[in-house]
Amino acid sequence: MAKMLRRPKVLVPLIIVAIVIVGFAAYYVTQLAVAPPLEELVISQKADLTTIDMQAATDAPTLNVFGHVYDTLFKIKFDEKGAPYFSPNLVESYKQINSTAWQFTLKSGVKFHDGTPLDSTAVKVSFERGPKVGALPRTLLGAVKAIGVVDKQTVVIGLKAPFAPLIAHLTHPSTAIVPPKIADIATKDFAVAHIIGSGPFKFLEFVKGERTVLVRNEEYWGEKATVKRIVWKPIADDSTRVTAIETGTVDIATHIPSHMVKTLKDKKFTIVDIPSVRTIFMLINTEKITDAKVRQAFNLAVDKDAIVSKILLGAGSVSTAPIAPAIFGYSKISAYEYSPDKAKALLAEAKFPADKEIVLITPTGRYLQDREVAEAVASYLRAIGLKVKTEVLEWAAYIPRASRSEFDIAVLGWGTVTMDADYGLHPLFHSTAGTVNWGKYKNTKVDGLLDQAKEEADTAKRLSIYKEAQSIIMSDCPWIFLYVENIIVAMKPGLKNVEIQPIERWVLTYAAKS
Amino acid sequence: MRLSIQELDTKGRVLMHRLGDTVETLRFLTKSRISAFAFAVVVGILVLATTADLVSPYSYHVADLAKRLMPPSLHHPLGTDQLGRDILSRIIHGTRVLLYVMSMSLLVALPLGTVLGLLSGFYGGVIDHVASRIIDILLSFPTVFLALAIVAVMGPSLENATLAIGISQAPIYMRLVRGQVLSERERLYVESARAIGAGGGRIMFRHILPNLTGPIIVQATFNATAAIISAAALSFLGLGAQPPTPCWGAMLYEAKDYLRTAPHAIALPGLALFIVAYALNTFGEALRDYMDPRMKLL
Amino acid sequence: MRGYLAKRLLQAAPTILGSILLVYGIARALPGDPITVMFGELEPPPEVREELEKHLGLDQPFIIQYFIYLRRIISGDWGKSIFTAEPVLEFTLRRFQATFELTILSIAIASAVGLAVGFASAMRRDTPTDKVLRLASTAGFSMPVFWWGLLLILLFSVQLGLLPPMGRGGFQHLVLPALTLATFISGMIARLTRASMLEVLTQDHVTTARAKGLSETVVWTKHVLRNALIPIATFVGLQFGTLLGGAAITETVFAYPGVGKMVVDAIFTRDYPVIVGGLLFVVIVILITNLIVDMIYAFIDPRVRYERAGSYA
Repeated sequence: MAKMLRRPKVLVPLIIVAIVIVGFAAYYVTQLAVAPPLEELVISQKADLTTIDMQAATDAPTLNVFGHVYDTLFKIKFDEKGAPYFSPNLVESYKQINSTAWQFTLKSGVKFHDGTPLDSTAVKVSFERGPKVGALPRTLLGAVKAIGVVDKQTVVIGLKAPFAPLIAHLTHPSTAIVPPKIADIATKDFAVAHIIGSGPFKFLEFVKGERTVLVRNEEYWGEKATVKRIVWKPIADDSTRVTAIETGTVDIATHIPSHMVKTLKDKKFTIVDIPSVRTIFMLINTEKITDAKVRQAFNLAVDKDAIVSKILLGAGSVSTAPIAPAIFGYSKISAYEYSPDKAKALLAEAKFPADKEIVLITPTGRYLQDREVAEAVASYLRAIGLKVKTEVLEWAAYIPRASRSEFDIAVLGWGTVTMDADYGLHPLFHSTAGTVNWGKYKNTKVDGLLDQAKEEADTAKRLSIYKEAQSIIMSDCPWIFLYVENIIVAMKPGLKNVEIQPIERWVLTYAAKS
Repeated sequence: MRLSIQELDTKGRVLMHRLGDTVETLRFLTKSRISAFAFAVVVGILVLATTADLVSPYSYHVADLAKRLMPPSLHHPLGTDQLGRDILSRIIHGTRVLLYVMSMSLLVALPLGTVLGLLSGFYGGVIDHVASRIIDILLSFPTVFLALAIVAVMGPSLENATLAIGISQAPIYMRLVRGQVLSERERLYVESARAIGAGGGRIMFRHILPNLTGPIIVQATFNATAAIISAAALSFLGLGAQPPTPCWGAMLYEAKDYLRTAPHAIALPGLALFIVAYALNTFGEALRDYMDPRMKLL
Repeated sequence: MRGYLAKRLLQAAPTILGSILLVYGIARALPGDPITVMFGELEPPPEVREELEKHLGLDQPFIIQYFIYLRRIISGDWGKSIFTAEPVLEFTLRRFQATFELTILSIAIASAVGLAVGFASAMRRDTPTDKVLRLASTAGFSMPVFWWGLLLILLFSVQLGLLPPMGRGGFQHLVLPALTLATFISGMIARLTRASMLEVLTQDHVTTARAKGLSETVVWTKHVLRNALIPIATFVGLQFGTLLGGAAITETVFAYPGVGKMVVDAIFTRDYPVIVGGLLFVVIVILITNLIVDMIYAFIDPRVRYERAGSYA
């Protein structure tokens, strides 16, 4: 054998083959180590862009797209346990000057997509234009009194009163920074050419109802994206969206209905199923149903576990407080048990008239399986002898009814996107300043607690204030407390580094194939 | 579906006499197997609608979450829907919705369309011009949009949907009646009536109108079918019957998310709709054939 | 002929004006408004709402807004979508292209199938074949469109995975929606073909032609077909117009981005300029198509021009 190897005719080809094999092996090994960049990533959210003026947007799908195009002062990240923490993004350093003033120093060298610098003037313009054109910036920056430009990189934000959740609010995409040149452009005149951010992606095109396309910003000031192109395809119909990912038309599909999860898992798709920060509940009109006992009866009559396990197929968790567990300020109070007998007893005690018709309104297609859940709840209420009339309204007709309190019971969902209890409780339960308190709940003690917690700087004290407030709310029962939704996202196998956050945000910037 | 004037003509005059002879009518309507089937379905709907509460094995509105989306089985011959309700019972109760839609849409469209058609055909002139323009406007709107818009404005409910459908069907009767009146106007019996001093109203309602009942009845049958389908379509878009009303179209709307996991919840109510529409259309055709033996060719 | 055309055009003008008024009235009568939709659960405070209303021109009384709108339309400015700021006319034309493709394919299939079935049915009158074909025809136009569409999706997309269930892209995206629509229309065409052919076949001029000894080919081409096809062609023309108005339900079921779906979506989001602009466009298309069909019909049948003078029949 050794003699044969020494002959050139055998040796040389053998060496060549060996080199080739080693070469291929080395190539594959390096491929595995370095995640190859993606040419194009196609994602389907349920809804389309509702506006091209980011600051005027109020819905998560639109902000998800723009979250890749603009930068915020701070970023929100989630550790392995799912707890949120904030990290500076555009900000280099910051400090609190006094109880109502904060100073922020911006990173230098940050440029917008058109080459102009992102400086403190841009921050001032953004925080002034935002509240003018959009409800979300207005709400999020409502505590801001004035913004002062100290120098090109330094900004001072003055507050109307001490505001503990400020940093949390500055992580929200609605507070992202826009260039000064669009300061005076009204939303109705906003064009695609005005979409100039500083983020890892540039906005390329928007064809309503078909697609939105983002391309990588090659001059990004931070870590460049690994994806060259993101295409957002809105597919409103659930079945169609699932089919789209099955057939490979899209790489990622969000808002997967829980009953399709098994089919996708069997086909080896990656499923991300995590609790969100959105609570689904039903407002009770406290001016019409004045007796708390009756409202408690409503809560006892509904089998929430059955709704979560049978309708949502486990893609949710029964509410034990008015806000979701992941949110700062959450305290586990308890859920009302399912007891139709106790419910009937309470109704009798409160002498609730048996033939009084209760009007229950619900939107359709706004929240996951909203109509079904509403009908189920109506059915449970009828089972304890109540007369319930259900009205299903399309969203544009629903909101006027709901906001004018023209209902007895109304379905609603609220996502605390700042991860802070103030945003989750204040707008919903404060009797005078609560913008979404359409059930007209009034409890002055709760008002006081919520106002106090808003300004309290000490974290431990804030937690105990919120605990007290939530206890009172749960026993006052201004809602039929239901559940916290889960977020279900499907991705094609082998895709990694896609961040799915409980605030219904997806970050695709560093996605890669494995 | 709209029939052309040429097809219907005034052969309908014969119909009233023949309808009076019930035995003859029934024999004709059940002559072929298909028309017998159609007739049976029509009767069946009436029977089910009146006896719904007795006949249904389960309630149509009580939800039972433990039994969601079960495929057809012994206990539930047609399966259960997404809230655990028995589909068979819901379909049976849905026949009431059918009857409601058919009758109410007729009640709205027929008097409105007929009276306006009579007036504009008989008197002509300005009334006619204005009326014709209104017909044009209403008819150049695709029915779906018109009904959709009206319901969206008035609020979604079965009543409003039916009203909207009635309004969108009125022009059809109006055009039909107007065309008929135009040709009847010149006939001898109208002249004679005028000669003996009968006023316009009397001539229209006592002399001309009875001769139009034939085509009107046939058109009404087809319009009733169209009304049911339109009501179902509106419910399918989410603007129609409110829960827990078991409108078959609404059942499709509620179950369409489950197309892949529980297709029976969609297929079965839709099948019911199809069978009923088919039966009613066949029934309408049979009625029309009955009007004139020569028409039987068609 | 020219007089008839002029008369019809003159009639079209008040119709269009009336349509605009009706559409505008309905659009504004819708509860809620685009501001509501934009803000969702975060109902805007009164000052913000006021400002937005002024921006969108929603703060003036209805009649004034109507005339402003009318003036703009006539000068060619159909407004912009409240949500995407895209000019309505552009948007509508883009979606109309999709609807047009769908319409052509659907009518083509429906005509081919319908004519064949109707013809066969007429030739084999009262035979078992005829009975079966008639059954199929009635079944065709009794199908609820949305149900049939869903079933086709179930079969071809879900079970067989052959065709995409939604959207627009290549020919394969047109197939299912076109089949759905074609089923309905072909049923009606088949029935009409059968009726029309039978009517003509029994008419005197055909028997006379035969008696005169003309060859069968001539009898068929010059007498039978020429006359039988008239009502069929009229019907197809009218259907064409109706479909161009956007088969809203089919487009919704298949998420096909045509004009019908555009208007339905706009109604749900209260995008007033799109609602009015889109519907207006549809109405005009339908009126034009109807006019063309009537013109052709009047050309073929001179009696029509005189009988129909002055009013709509």
